[in-house]
Order: sequence, then structure tokens, then C-alpha cells
Amino acid sequence: MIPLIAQSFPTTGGESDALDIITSSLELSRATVESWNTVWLVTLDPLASGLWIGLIQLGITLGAASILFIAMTTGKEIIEKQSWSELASIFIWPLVIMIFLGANGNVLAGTIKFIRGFSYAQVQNVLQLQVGELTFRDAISNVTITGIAKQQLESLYSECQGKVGTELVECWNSKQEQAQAIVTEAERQARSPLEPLRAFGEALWNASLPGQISTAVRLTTDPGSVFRDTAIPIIRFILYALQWGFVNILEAALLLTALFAPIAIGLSLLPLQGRPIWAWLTGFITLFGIQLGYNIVVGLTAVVLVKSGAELVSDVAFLFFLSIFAPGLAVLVAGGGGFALYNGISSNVKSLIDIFSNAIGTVTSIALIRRG
Amino acid sequence: MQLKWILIRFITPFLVLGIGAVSNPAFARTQDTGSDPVEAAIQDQVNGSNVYVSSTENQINDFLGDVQNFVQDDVLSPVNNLIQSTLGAVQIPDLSQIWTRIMGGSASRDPGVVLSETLENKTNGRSSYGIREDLGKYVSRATATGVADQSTLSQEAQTQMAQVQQVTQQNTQESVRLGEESQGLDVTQRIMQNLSQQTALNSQVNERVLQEAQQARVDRAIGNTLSAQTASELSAITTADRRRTISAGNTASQQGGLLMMPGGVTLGSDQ
Repeated sequence: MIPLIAQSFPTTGGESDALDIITSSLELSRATVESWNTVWLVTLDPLASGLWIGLIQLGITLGAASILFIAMTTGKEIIEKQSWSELASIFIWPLVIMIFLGANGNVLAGTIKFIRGFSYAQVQNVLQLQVGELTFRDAISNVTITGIAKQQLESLYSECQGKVGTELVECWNSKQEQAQAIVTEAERQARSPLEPLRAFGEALWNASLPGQISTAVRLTTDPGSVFRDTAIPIIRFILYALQWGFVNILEAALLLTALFAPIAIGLSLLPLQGRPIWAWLTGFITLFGIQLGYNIVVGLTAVVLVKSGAELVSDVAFLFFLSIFAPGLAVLVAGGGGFALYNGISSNVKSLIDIFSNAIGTVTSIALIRRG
Repeated sequence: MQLKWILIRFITPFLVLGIGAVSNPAFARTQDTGSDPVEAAIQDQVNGSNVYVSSTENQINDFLGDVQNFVQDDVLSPVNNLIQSTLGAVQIPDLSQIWTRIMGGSASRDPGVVLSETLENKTNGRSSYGIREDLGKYVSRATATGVADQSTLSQEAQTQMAQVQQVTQQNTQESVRLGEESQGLDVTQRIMQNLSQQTALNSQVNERVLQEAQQARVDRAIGNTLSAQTASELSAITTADRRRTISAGNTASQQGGLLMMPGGVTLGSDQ
């Protein structure tokens, strides 16, 4: 005897593969981070990196040209003035260049790696800051993974969108197992219970039970909100892609700035208004400042969302914040800070070096007088 | 006494002849007219009916053969098995039974279903509600189209229809001829003439009715085919929409999983 249609349907084939997509994405994301680290190590390798060696040679060439220029201009004045202090001061930058660019820029590469390692540690540590019992990182993970899981639930139930009557109930019931799997997997990935997501999931898979209608229409657990327009995933995708692009372009900018270091040092001999090396250093540090500021802003907002239990409702809004407003804010704040930092360094360092070279000149003069 | 004897001798040949005539009336009539058009017509009619009956029988057999061929050739094998197992007494697939079985997961190994699962990320061998529904509708459409095509619209079906039409036409013509002939016979009752004429006219009307019925059948078959095409287009829209939704969702989830924070911090547990 053929069983009734309503009784004979097996549970749906599920989105186990879709869950794998998330896991694969997370792994891919980790691989991207490792790849960036590898690229840094490979690119800044003084022995094997052709790019780095080429840039060092360019820096040395620029430095040599600068020394010739200095010798032609300043050297004549020094000989005329017989000023030992000025003679000592013009040797400071060539020495610095020699130290940093010598041996294929070994010291420079080491310094850059040190600065990067130190700054990276600071940027990462920010995410470990705790507000209550919640770190920034956990809060960001919770909010984002909740959003991803909700997206998966929307995809899962989207099949039932056009059904009515018994078909709707059958289709809806066939999704229960997979919906539970999605929520469980999301909690496993987030390493913490995701209360709003679970409440939403329970509202979904219990929605077809008798007596659930009265509790259905609530802001966070409205099962009907699982039927969202196809535009929502596209908006999510664009916003996630923007965030990905922002973070990765920051990494790329850091690497590019690091690669310009030999040129900045080579040009630092020239008596310009500000030494290029300070501009370079300011830019380098400012990029880390942007990262730091971004992490703080996003982390704080995520904590606020998790604390208020709004991570499910504000998933798309948080994405707008994550991808557009937070980067804008971080760039504006760190940009202003970087400009101030550059002004401070370039004005103060000039006087510091003047004092330093005057002191060396005085000591040299005294030594010569005593000997004479 | 002598007169009585003469009378008996005179009557006997008549009696013998009469008995002979009674026992063999056809002979007597043949002798009278030379032929019997009614009998010939009956014979022809019987022969014609035999032709018609055998033709119809062949047609039915051919039609069923065509449907079976369609079942064997037109649909992929797991679904074909399913259809074979639901063929009814007149060898037409039971659509509701096919639908129930497909929705129950009986055709989950069908290549089309497997590909759909792959496309929609359901690779654990248990196709989703939507995929099963799609297949069920597809088989219904394919059956409708196949039956319409093989029974009516194909060259063979048209040939059969033409044959039936031809035989019917012959019957009609014969009937008309007989009717006309009956009118010309020496029959005293005028009502018989009218009846013959009416029968002839009826036959003509019957032929037209048959022609109309055949035309209606062709129209129905073409209509069924067009309906199936419409259903196919609508189904394609539904399926494409579902796949687009799932694909967009997966893309968003995938990109979401790629989220990384500055400083090389990624989501999820460290594995």
C-alpha cells in the first residue's frame, strides 16, 4: 500500500555542504592570513628576494647621488667655515644609510619586520580586550557567525517560500533537521552559545506546530523573516567583500610602504624640508593606527550588539558599519593622527639632530684644541 | 376418381418445386434477379466492420507500443523504472502514483536529481523537497508530451489516423451507395426508401463527426504539448529562482566566512 504523501516524505537533503562552505571559508581566511605573513617574509628577505635587493640597490644609488649633491653644496661651505660640527653632522645620514642599506638592507628588513611584529601584536591584543566576560574578538565572531547562519537558514527555507497548505507544512517540516544542524554548527564555530540565533531557529522549526501562532510574531523570533528578498544576500556579499577588500588593501598598503623604505632612506640625505624617512615612518605607523582604530571601533560595537542581544536583528546594519562606516572613521582618525605625528617628528627631529650634531662638533673641536 | 388422380399428378411437381424453392430461396431469388444487393451490402458491411475492428485494434496496440517506447526511450532509467512499475491496465503511467513515489524519494538516484543536488549543495543523496517536486512535475510533463506526441502528433500516429479516416470514408461511401441503391429498388413501402436515405445521410454525418473528433484530438494533443511547454517554462523560472537564491546565499556566507580583522584575526575556532 502506498503511504500517504504527508507521511512518506523523508527529511530534506540538507545544507551540510553549505555548512562546509562556511568551514572552508574560515580555513581559507586563515590561509590568507598565513599567506600574507609568508609574503612579508619572502618579500623582505635580504638574501633571496630579488625585489628587495633591487629596491635596496635603487636606494643606495639614490643615496650615493645624494652624497655627491651634499658634497658639492654643503662640503664647500664647511671647508670655508672650518666648522667641525657641521662636518660631523653631514656624516650622520650617510652612516645611517650605510647601516640600514648595507648587506642588502639586512638591518632595514629586520627593523621593518620588528615594527610590523610589534604593531601586529598590539593590533591583535586589542581584539583580546575584555568588556565584561566578552572579548572584542568573541563579540565580532558572534555577530558575524550569527549573520552567516541566518543567511544559511534563509537559503534553507527559501524553497518553501512559494508553497501553501499541506505542501508548505511538509516542505517546512522537512527543513527542521538541517536548521538544527546549521545552528549547532554556528555555535561550534563561535565557541559560545548564540542565544538569539537559537531562539530564531527554534521559532522556525516549531513554527508548524499547533499553538505556535501566538508566539510567532516577535521581533527577534519572527519565522516569516526567514523569507527575505534575494537582494539581501547580494547586499551582504557586497558588504562582506568591501570589508575583505579594506582589510586586505591595508595589508597591501603596509607591504608596499615597507618596500618603499630603501628609497625613503636613500633620499633622506637630501636637505629637504622634511626627511623622507620620517614621512615613510609616519605612513607606516599610521597604517597600523588605522588597523588599531578599526579593531577598537568594530570590537566595541560588536560587544554592544552582543550585550543587547541585537546581533540577529542588526546583522545587515552591522555589516554596513563593519564595511563602510568603521573603515571611514578609522582612516579619518588615524589620518589626522598621522599628519600630526609627522609634523611633530619632522620638526622635533630636526632640532634633535641639530643638537646632536652640534654636540659632536663641539666634542671634536675640544679634542682637536687639546691635542693642538 | 380419375380426375382426383390427375389433380395429384399435376400438383406434385409444383409442391416439389415449392419445397425446393423454400429450402433454397437464394437460388430462387438468384434466378429471379441475378444478384442480391442487400446481402452483398451486409457482407461488405461485415467485412468493413472487420476491417474497422482490426484496424482499431491495431491502432490501439500500436498506440500502446508507442507509449511504451516513449517510456523506454524518453526518460532516464531510474525514472523509467518508476514509470514502468506504475503502468496501468491500459499501459498508461499512473501519474499520481509516480508523483507520490518521487516525492517519497524513490528517484533520488536519478542523474538529473543528483546534478540538482550538487548545484544546490545537497549532496547527501537525499534530494530536497523542491528538487523532488521539480522531478515529479518534469515526469508529468514528459508523460503528457510523450503521450500526446506518440498517440496523435507523430508521423505514425498520423498515418494511423489517416487509415482510420480512410476506412471510415469507405464505409460511409458504401453506406451511401447502399442507401441510394435501396432507393432505386423495387420496394413498395416508401418508408423503407426514407429509412435508407436517412441511414446514408447518417453515415455521412458520422464521418463528419469522426473528422471533427480527430481534429479535436489533434487540437487537444497540440494544446497538451503547449501546456506542457508553458508548465516547463514556469517550472524553469521557479527552479532558476530557487537556485539563484541558494547560490546568492552561499556566496554571501562564503564571503562572510572570509571575514578577517586587521592583525590577521579570523573568525571561528582555531583549528
